[in-house]
Amino acid sequence: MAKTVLTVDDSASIRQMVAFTLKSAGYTVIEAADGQDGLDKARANAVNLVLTDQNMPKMDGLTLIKTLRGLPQYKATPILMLTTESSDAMKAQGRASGATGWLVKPFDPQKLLEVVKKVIG
Amino acid sequence: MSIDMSQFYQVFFEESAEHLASMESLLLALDLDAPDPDQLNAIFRAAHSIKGGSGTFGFTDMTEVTHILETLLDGIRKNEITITSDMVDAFLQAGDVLKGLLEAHQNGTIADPAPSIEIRARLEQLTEQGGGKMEIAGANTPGAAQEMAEAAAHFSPQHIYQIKFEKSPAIFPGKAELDNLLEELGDIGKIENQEITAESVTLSLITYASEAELRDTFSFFLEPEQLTITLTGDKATDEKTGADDDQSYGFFVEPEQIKAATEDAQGYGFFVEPDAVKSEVENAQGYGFFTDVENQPQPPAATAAQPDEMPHRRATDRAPAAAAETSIRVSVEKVDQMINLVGELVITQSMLAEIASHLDPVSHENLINGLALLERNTRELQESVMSVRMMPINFVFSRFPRVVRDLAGKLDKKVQLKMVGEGTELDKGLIEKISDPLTHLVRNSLDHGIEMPDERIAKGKDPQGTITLRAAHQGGNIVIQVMDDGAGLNRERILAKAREKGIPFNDNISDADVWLMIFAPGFSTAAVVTDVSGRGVGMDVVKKNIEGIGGRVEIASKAGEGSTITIRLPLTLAILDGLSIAVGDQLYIVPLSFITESLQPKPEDIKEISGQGMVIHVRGEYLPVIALHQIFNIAPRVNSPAEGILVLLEAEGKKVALFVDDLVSQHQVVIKSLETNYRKVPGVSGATIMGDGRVAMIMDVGALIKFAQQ
Repeated sequence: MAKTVLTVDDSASIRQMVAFTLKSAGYTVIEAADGQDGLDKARANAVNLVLTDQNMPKMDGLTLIKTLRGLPQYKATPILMLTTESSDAMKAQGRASGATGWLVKPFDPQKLLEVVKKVIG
Repeated sequence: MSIDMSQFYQVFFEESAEHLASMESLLLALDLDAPDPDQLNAIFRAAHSIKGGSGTFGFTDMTEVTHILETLLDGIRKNEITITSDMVDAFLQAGDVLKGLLEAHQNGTIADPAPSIEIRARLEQLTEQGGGKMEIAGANTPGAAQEMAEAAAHFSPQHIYQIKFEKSPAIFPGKAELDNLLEELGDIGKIENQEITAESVTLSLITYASEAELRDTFSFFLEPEQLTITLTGDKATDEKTGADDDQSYGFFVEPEQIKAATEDAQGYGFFVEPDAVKSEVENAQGYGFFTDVENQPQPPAATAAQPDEMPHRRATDRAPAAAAETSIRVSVEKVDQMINLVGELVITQSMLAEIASHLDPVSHENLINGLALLERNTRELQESVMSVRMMPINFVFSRFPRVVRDLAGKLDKKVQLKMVGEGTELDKGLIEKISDPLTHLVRNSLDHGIEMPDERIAKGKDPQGTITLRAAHQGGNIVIQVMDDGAGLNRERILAKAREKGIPFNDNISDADVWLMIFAPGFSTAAVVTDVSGRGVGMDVVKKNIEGIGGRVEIASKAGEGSTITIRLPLTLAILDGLSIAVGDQLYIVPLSFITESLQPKPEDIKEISGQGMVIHVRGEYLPVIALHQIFNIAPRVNSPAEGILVLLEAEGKKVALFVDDLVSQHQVVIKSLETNYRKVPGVSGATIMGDGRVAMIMDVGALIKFAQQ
């Protein structure tokens, strides 16, 4: 059974690229356009992995991750943050919010797939 | 797996253009003394998104500019740097540069690098001046972007496939066929360890291609069962294993732990445990599509695992999960095709209605009721399809804050722009065509209307002038107004200019007619010809453009108080309100917007002027009479205007009387282009198909009036 990935990004082009890449690799993909949308869709669906952008309108990525971690069904779900910086400060924030890992933007489809495979196979 | 990134370019272009536009309007709206943190965040986010997208899709020139922009904006939003109006100017300039780069990429051309270099230097300088304690550095930035791109390029893993396929003479009759195949494989990737025996060929292929793509290549030569492809590894990842310095991703926990954690979760039974997932999903599907939630027996495992979660989950799962987007992007072509087809449907429907009107209503009651329903549905369909093409006028208005800001700066005037009714919707085609004339009018108001601040103070006005853009729906029209509180039009100056230009006018000419003179070709009253307006591309072009889309322009002005220019536009270009008129056995449509009145003249009001044709006397004015049957050379049913009807038309400030046999009725007609289907015919702007299937020409009133003048 195909695993489901929720991709949260306010940029439609990046979201489509992520969705297309993962769908081509056989994953089921749910798209969300901002943190709030991501939270709503995470609540409404069974998700195996969440990929979230950081800087988004309505709700940013860190808040989304924190909120998800507060939900019983997302206590252990892998959550990767997609970020344009990989500073230690960012990592500390990410770790504190409960993210599983990070992936630096820009990334190409192969890299994305490689990381996703490492996490959920 | 290789993915063609170019398929996402269009979306990227569109979203970047949107980000640039919103960045600009946010910048213009920003209060420098007390910048709103939300606005600063939104500006930052726009730059950030463009950077992310351009980096991902390989438009490094845009990444370089947005990177510095973003860094500076980040400093500002974190209160590390104080925003100045210089910075806003630079940000606006950066927006322009990015727009240029974006357009170049969109058109597949190479942008001039000079503006990017200039703006990067300017932004860097501002960052330094701002005392940014950030580690930005312009010099590194291009390098950084490049590195990122290179790192990304590195990363494409090449797959290593072990391929074995049969080589019987039935498949490869000669050496040439096999060579062809090997050559094709050589194009896809690198062939290694090739072994060719009498029965089979074995080789390793290192390639980016997926197995499916490989099978595709072989499918021309071989049946699937004659071929085995095994993926033995990934080259790039194999090489990468040793390199642990890759900083482009990372985990706070080891992947094994994540797996373990997920496995824990599986044990817990949330959503990953295979059996639970299966039953749950089936369950959810069952609820969603076939039966009521309450009647569905629940699998004990799932219920036991999460008694609290289930009801909530079920309720929400019923909504289709994939219905993610609330809006979609569709090409204008598709929408136009739809509008066209609906137009055809409207014609077919009115044809059926016409036929049914001759039937006995009692014996055909059902049919007639059905047709009435069809009419209603068709009309609603047409309205909703038309609404797809409708866009808020804000698409045009949004450029004006910038236009006004730049121009006011250039002219040392103080001007405030007010916009009312930005949400008013009009046809996309009109939006595109109204943009230039409107810009011209706004520039004109600012240049000629609004006075210099000291002049305004002397007049007892607020030194800051106001230009108001207003849009509204009014009785089936869109009304757009450009209002200024400037000096107003100067009657004497316009009349002097008219005299100079040799434009004839009556001494007691009304103000309204005087104002309309500024639309005459070559008319410019600007005392000084600035590079802003008064360049000869005058108001006449504005008026022509507006009339070209079926609109009308009016001016109201009061000396010392300002001017208001009003544009009236039809709601859409695809449908026209028209009056059908009959001449002989022909039917014509006259656009309603040009008709001022229709009348049956008294014989004594019609005068013949030798060599100039007929004129009609209407309330003190003599108007030329155009006989439609003469223009189109058809035999009329009536020969004297006194027996027929005169339709008074007004366009381009001139009035004529059109002599026709009869008025038939008023319709909404779907405009069909005559040029696309036949050729351009003078005096005719298009055609339509009437309810009875006949084709009726739509009159080009402007051209008719020109006929009258000749």
